[in-house]
Amino acid sequence: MLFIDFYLIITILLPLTIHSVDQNDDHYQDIYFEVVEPSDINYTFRCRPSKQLSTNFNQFYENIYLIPAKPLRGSDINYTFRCRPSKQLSTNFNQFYENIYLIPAKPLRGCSRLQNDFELNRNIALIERGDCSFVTKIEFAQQSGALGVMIMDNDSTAHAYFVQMIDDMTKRKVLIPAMFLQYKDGHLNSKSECILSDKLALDSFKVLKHATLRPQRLPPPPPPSQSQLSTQPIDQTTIPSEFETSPSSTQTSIKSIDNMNTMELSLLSEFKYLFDNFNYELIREEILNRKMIQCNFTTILWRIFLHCLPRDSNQWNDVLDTSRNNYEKLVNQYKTDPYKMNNNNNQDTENLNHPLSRDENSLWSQYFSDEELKATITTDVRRTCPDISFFRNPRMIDLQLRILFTHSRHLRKTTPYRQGMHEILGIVVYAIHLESLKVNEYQESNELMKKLYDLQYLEHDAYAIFEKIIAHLRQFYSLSTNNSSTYKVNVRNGTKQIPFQRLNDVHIPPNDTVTRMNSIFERLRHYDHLLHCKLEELNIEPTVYGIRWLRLLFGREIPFESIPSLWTVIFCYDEHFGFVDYFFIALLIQVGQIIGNQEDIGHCSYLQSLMKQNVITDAEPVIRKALTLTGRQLPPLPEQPIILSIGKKDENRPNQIENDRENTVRAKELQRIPIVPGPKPRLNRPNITDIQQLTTFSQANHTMDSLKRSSSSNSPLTSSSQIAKSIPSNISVHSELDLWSGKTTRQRYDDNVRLQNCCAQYMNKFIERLQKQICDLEAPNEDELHIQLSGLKQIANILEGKLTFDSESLQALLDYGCKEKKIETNNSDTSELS
Amino acid sequence: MLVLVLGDLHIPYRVSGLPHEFRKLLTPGRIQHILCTGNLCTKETVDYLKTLTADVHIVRGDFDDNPNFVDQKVVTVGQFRIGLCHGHQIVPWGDIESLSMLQRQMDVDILITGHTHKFEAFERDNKFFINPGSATGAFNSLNSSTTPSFVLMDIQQASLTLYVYQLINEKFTVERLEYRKA
Repeated sequence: MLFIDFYLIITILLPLTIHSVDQNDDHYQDIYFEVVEPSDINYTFRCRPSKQLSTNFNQFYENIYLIPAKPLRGSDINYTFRCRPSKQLSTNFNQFYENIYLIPAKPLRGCSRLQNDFELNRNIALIERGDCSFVTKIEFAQQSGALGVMIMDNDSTAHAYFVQMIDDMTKRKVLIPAMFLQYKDGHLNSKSECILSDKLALDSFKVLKHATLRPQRLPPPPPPSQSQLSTQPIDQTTIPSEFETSPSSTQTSIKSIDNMNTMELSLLSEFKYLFDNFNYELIREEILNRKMIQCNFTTILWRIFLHCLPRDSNQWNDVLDTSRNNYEKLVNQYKTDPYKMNNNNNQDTENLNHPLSRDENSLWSQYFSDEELKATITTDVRRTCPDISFFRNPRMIDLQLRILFTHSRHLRKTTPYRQGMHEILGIVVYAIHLESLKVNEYQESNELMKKLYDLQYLEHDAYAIFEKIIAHLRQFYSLSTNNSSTYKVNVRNGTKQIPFQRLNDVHIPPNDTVTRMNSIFERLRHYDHLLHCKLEELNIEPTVYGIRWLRLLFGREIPFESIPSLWTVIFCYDEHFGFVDYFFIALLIQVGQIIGNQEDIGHCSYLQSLMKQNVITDAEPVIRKALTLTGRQLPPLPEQPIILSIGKKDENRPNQIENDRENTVRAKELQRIPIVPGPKPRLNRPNITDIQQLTTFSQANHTMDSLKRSSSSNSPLTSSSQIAKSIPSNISVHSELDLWSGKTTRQRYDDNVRLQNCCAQYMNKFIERLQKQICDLEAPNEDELHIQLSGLKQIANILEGKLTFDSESLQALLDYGCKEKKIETNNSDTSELS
Repeated sequence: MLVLVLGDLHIPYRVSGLPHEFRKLLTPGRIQHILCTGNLCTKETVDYLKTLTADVHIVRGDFDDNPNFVDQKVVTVGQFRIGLCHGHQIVPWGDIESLSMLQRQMDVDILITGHTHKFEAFERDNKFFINPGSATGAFNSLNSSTTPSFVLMDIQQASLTLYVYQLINEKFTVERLEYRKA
């Protein structure tokens, strides 16, 4: 079974006796795990948990899957590995995991934010030792959602030695278990070639060809077919050994880029500079650092990143010719002309291709279905970008029709034509067209430029780019497993009815697009907790707006002019359009901010803003935000930062470790709070179960309002309002989002919470004083006074979070006592609470 | 461009409906025009033909219920002028010379007539004569049994391909003929 080839099944066996805590005996705590499948390397490995670092490995795991970086056909590492959990460092293995995956982290040493958190989420990370402390590695793994960490040695000479992983005295706490693996065991898993099946994860994995482990995640070398064309080994020229700027050559070229950017580049020199010796790494870094935002040769960059053209510009002539000829052949192949066929046919009445033939193999039916397809495509093409006159040109319409038709016929099994593809093609064609206009007008373009932008071959080149893009977007265009409507009907009539089940819930049958979007939406939880909860509460499925975003590669969400720069980032980021996920989240956060600034926050306005086109007026900040979400640190904008976040980022940099720690701890806290979808926002009495569990805007607003009102009506608390003003300056406002966005509502929310706490404390103090004075007074109606005081105490406790809000008990307290007072206090109280 | 030529259905007086095999073949979407020689006879049949395509031309046959159909019609498709007439007006029925006379009168390149319930297609004097026969195989005054047949013309500019569909022994057969305008 193919599936088995790609993973190992391991079972973790505990040592049988754990009773004696013998410090000297290193072996007592070793964990053994047996690799069960593939059976060739069925072996029991041993690994040592770190006594100092982490806590007890108490649990019995069955069937942890190791995903090695190799198609394990035959030669395999079915083996039982031994690893040592770290006692000092991390927490208990208290969970029983079944069927989780062991995934190598990228970067392998885990010293910076992990790139593949998508894969690591809820799995175990495999990290190499070295370059930073164990605690840091575990931190990063934890941030990316891993459930545990296996750290493998980097010292190939150590054969029987298990490192006790200790912490690094930075007083950080890690919350996931960690184990130590020997070098030979760990590297067996992560070495060599790898093809991982699509079915194992939501994304498809790359073809990694390295045998050595690099500290930095590098863009993979081009696929084998391209590398055969190249004469020089590409890896050597383009991969630096360390992070971006260390080799001196790249440093000098960076300087020259800066110089170039300031003076006006002529087209020819720019072309030469970029493509004569295409420095893939450098250009990619520039794009991702937003140094290169606009480029006159964007479509050529696209072609390189999408592998339509090799990196070496000397081969472009040949490659262009072959691809253009290829396209011509395809077009001719799919021109069904039954008349031509007829001339060859003999007069065999049985097999005659007659026009009314129902037979699928007959030329005529093919011809008619082609006509139908063309008609569908034409209606769509006619509607692309209605405001741009370029698209109304009949020649362009024909051209697009031909491209779409040929593509659809050629790949009819995998990617039949769907609405939306025409928009993508439209953008590609338009981009090429604009650039070719520039180049063709330019006097001094060299031959290669002219050839690249030859208007006659616009169609062929556009086809090549389009084909590659659609190959990646294929997953978004596949239809859900036929008919969610029939599925719904079945469920309604079937036995799986659950009372009070929300109609939108889980009735969209799982399919690639939906799963992907749901997983992206889940990740939003880490970045913008509030928005995530809000959207969940309002029941807005991500597919509602997400499908259009993904299918059109955000073509309708951002202004038309900035689409090329966004697409350049997407294409160069990695091989599988991983950046799409980050941009999706960033866009969602941005839209969330826009909604948050509106007055009316309800289901309607959310849905409206999400579904509206071109809500975002400027794509660049969103791109930057998305890039920071991936873990990059962008140089700040040269002018006054418009977005608060960038300014804040600079401030936070010196304290980053501290902030990280606080942030992750806080993040963990928030994540541990069970998210109860709150009641509908317009209830009269907010049912606040626990103040610190505030998860919705409405509840936060309510408490803030009630606080404001109560603070204005009660005189002892006026001083607290003064103090409240000074609170924000004293307490540094850290939220988990500080690194990335200056979300004002988020800060407001945090301010609210702190305000409440402070108010509660002051309230308590005043209550104490009142109580003392009442006791001293010995007034006749002391009982009532005490009871009122206890009511106030209760409120203070609620604000602090110690008590749950119970309107009945408060009401009971109010009712006690003489009627006049009751009436007065009733009135004032109901005005506060409602 | 596909043009369907049929006629002499005599539904429901002589036959209850089109043969099953023919009905399967005739689906909307493929045919552009229908030329009908007449004797349909009722409105339901006319409606059925209209579901196949919007452009339907009918001439009056001797058994038609609707008296308002014209006797003769000339339609231009591609580069061909096509004449349409039922044929009961021509005496003797189906006589070549008389048909030629009618063709000269109408000044058409292709003359389509019916009434004889017998398929014919021949060329004479560089002009083409088509008789689609009876699509339902209805009986004639002279013959009690006829083979159901109809004709599909595929007109491309100046060339004409004729597909003749006949129902013989419960199976339909297709023949192809070609004609080019001089």
